[in-house]
Amino acid sequence: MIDDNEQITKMVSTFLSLNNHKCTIANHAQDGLEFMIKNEYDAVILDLTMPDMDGYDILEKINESDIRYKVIVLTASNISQENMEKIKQSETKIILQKPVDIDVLLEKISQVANL
Amino acid sequence: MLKIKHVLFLMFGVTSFIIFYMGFLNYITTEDQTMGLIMLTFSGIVSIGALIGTFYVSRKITTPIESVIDKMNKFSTTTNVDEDFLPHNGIKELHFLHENFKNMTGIVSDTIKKERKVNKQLQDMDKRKVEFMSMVSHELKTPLMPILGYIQLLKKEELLGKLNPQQLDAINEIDLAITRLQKLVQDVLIVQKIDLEKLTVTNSNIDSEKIVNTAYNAFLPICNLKGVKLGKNLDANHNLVSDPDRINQVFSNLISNAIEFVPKNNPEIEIGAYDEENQIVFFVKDNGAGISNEEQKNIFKKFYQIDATSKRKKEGSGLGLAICEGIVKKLGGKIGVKSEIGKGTMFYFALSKEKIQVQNF
Repeated sequence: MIDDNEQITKMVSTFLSLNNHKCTIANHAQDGLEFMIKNEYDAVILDLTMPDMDGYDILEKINESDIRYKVIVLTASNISQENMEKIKQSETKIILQKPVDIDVLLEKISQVANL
Repeated sequence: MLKIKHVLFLMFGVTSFIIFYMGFLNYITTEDQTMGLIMLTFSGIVSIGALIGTFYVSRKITTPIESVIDKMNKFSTTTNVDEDFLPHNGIKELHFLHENFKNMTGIVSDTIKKERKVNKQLQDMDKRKVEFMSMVSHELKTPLMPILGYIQLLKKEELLGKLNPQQLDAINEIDLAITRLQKLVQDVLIVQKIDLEKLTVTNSNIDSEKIVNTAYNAFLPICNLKGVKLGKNLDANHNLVSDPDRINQVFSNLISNAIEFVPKNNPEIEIGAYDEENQIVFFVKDNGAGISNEEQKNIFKKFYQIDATSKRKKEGSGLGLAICEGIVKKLGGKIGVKSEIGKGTMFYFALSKEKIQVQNF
């Protein structure tokens, strides 16, 4: 899960681990990108608005590379038409708006990751 | 139309000819040959002089006027003009014409400059408003996520253990309050979107019957829970081209309102749709206390809340109907209310069956 808000990542990872899922947290986009390159995950939960490097940058970098991830975008921002095009061209499978119901989040993760 | 030049030449040409002709007539009819010759020469000189004078005056007056006309033409297309386009030629009227024209162009170009500046400022302000809106939207929604998440977590016995009754009560109170806050945040943000004309709508083929049924099925459980009799009246069976999500949003808002305002005894709500000319009218009727004519004028205003007969303060943001109106307008439709004190209330919104060209901002 890549999100600069530590409270959100803590809450979601607690919830996921209580449901027996392993969740790696990256509170900086750069760390998240490195994790994605080094490791393998069933799904990536990605925030869009982050300082320094944002979610769109990550989607773009992933697109340029040959690694493929199932991405769930989880954002509190309004997505402009232009940015929506960027997302459509990326590996994003689903877009969820914050605040999302955690049961819905879990269901979507299971769906996207084919668990 | 006549040109000054031609008028002058016509007048002085005829006059010169008459003078010369008189001199000539005098010459051939007079007995004093010498005097006749002098008169002929004199009339000839006067005629030629008059023609030359006409030519000179014409140039002196008409050329500058033509120049002014030319500059006016140029100014009306480019709103730009050279500072001193007319050399001072000693004619008073022309001098004033030139000066006044210069003043006028000065004022006009200043006004245009100011207007452009104000326009630019307004555009900047609009841009900043939109940026502010998306910032506020992000900052308000983000903290809601962990709060709602932890409330849900705490309510899951199997994950974090069983809460004692007081703890559960506390969590339920927090949940209620935060859910209200969430609704308020959503309402404020959508009102802002409507105000900034940033609300987007989609167009797809929809079935009015399906819309009513969806709303009916969504609200039946809560109506049963509150003992409200929910009825359905479908007199329309027409497809329309509009935004189903936005229609559902408006319809749900109106039904939620009705649930708030039905009486305690025999509460009844009827929802439905009917045809009217080339429109489909969706409606929500209740048997509540009714709304006075005076209040009907205000209910679609932001933050307006009815408190007349019911005495209890409603929980809503007071934005619901303003949002409904904004959305219906955006869909090219009309929203309204029919009510009489003591005879219940009917809220309705009418949408055209044919596709309306909706402008997206």
